[in-house]
Parts: sequence; C-alpha cells; structure tokens
Amino acid sequence: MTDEHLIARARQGDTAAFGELVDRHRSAVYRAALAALGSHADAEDAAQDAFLLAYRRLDSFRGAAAFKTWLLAIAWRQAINRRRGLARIWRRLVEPAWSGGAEAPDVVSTIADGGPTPETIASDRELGRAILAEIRSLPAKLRDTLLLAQSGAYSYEEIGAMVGAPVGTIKWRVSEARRVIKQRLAVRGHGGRTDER
Amino acid sequence: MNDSALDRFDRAIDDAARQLTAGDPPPHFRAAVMARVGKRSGADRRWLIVPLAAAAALAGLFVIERAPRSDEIPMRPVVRHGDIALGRTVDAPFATSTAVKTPATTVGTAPRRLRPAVIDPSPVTAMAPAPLAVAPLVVDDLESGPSTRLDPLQPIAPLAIAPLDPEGDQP
Repeated sequence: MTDEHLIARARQGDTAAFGELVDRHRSAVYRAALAALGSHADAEDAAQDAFLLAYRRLDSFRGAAAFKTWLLAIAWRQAINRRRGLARIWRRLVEPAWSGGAEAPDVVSTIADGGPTPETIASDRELGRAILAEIRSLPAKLRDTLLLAQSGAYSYEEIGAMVGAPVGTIKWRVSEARRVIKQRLAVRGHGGRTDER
Repeated sequence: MNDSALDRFDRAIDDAARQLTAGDPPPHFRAAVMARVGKRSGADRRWLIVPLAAAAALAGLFVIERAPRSDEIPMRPVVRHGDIALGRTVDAPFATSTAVKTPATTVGTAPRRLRPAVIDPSPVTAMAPAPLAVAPLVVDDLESGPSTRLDPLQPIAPLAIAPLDPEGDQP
C-alpha cells in the first residue's frame, strides 16, 4: 500500500493507517531530529512532536511533494525550534558518541589499512576529537547540512526541502563545511601526519 | 597538505558526521506516537470550546460597549422651547465617549445619575502650579444713547412703460 493510500485512510480517521506511516518514516524523521539536536532523548521527543503535528495537518498535505519530504520538513522545523531552547546542544551531541569509557569512536581507525600501531591509534583519536570539535564550531547552516548529507538517509532534494534551500546551495554548504574543517585541521598541525604512515 | 591527507580528512569527516547521526528510534516509538495521537483527538475537541467561548465573550463585550447607555450624557443637546415647556429631557443622539460631558437639560424631571469625574492622577497633573488669584474684571455697562430714528421712505410712483412698437424698430 502506498503512502497516498495510507494518507487517505488516515484522513478518514483510520489511526492504524497513520501508524503504518509512522513505522515507514520514523527512522528518517528521527535521524533528522538527531542531526539537529544531537541528543537521542531530544530527538525522540522532537520526532514524536513532528508526527503529531503531521497528523493534525494531514488535510493540508496536497501531494505536491512526496509525503516523506513533507514530513521531514515538519520534523526539521520541530527540531530547530527545540534546539533554540537548548543551551547545551552541542555538548549533548558529542557526549553520546564519545563518552562512556573514553574510547574514541572508530572514526579514523578505519583509515588505517595496515595494523595500526599504538602511536597511530592515539593520533587517530586526537584527529577524531579535533574533527568533532571543528564540526561543532561550524556555522549552523554548514553543520546541519553536512550532518544531514553525511547521514546517508536523505537526498539533496530532501535536505533542500527540510532546510528551505536549493539543491545547489546544499551542495555548496557540504563542500564549504569540508573545506573549513580541513583548513582548520591543517592550522592545528594535522596536515602532515599522514606522511608518517 | 597533500592529497592523501585530504582524502584521509574527508573519510574522517564522513565517519564523524555519520556517527553523529546514527541511531534509530526506540521500539516503543510508534506506540508513543499513537498514544499521543489518540489523546490529541480528544484534546482538539475540548480545546475547540475555549476559543469559541472566548470569541463569544469578546463579541458580548463589544456589543455592550457599543450600546447607548441610559446615563450617557449628551455633549451638545439640542433644546427646543417646546421641550422645555413640556418638561422633556433632551438627549443628543451623538453623545460620544469623550471625557468632556455637560449636564443634560432636564426640566421638571428627577435629576439623573451622573458618572463620577475621572481625575487624572498623573505626576504631571500633580506638578501643575496653583491657579493665579486674579480679581475679576469689572466692565461698566455701556450707556445707551438716543436711538437713531429714520424717516419712513416715501413710496415711489410706479413707472409707466409704453410697449415697444415691433414694426417701428425694424430697419
């Protein structure tokens, strides 16, 4: 059954049909909220709010875009509104990935083709922390776009509908975010480390 | 920075961004959403009453405020001699809500209830100087002189005009 069929049934009061729509799109909505909020608890709340709002506004969905795109735009707005009220957003974003055991995530270790030496592992951890710090300090527009694009869950068109920007702007933001991060890493002295391998 | 370093950074950035957005909603997510949807349906109906009641109250207040009041005092009453003679009260139909009001012209009826005057308690009013004590000006009455008498006009004898001869004026 297509989304359109489920929407039609949900409009007639079939809540089970809407539940099916929730099941289909909950991951995409949740990850968008997570990209904006950085906290799983906040992301869950924002995702629930987004589905609730979508249910209430179901009559306003005209089908000009895909239901998922429309839903993601709602979710993104909900997440951004919530983010504005959170002062510790980026600390929360980083903590779930890096806290607990102080083991750096496997961000950079996958780069090592050969067996990493302890020195390489330590250096990769340092680089991972530096990258996260740079992502955290990016301007919001660059940071949001980079995270959404690299999550692998959305097309550029969907990201554009979410953040309200053309596809060309989305591509530029992703490229610019990368450029800024790499430039800052080079300034920190991370540029020549690969030569050690 | 060489190409291998750039590639390494690109991969590291991709991995970091992917990890920051990795995760799925908990298993109870759908149930939580549907519970809120069901709760919301009832709440929508209940909350529909609130704005309707508020709108009705506002409309009522508006009607009451706009309706002419029985103790409204006219600003410019139109008094006719016939009304005074008959002891009628004359109310102006254009009384407004401005603060300046004059007493109604009432003859032969009980005094009407007036609204208390509104005193402006602003600091500016408190700082106003006391009124000056000035003796009232005395103006002597004008002396009446002899009245000017005019002789009546003599009637003018009517002018007799002979009708024109239509043929005699033609060339």
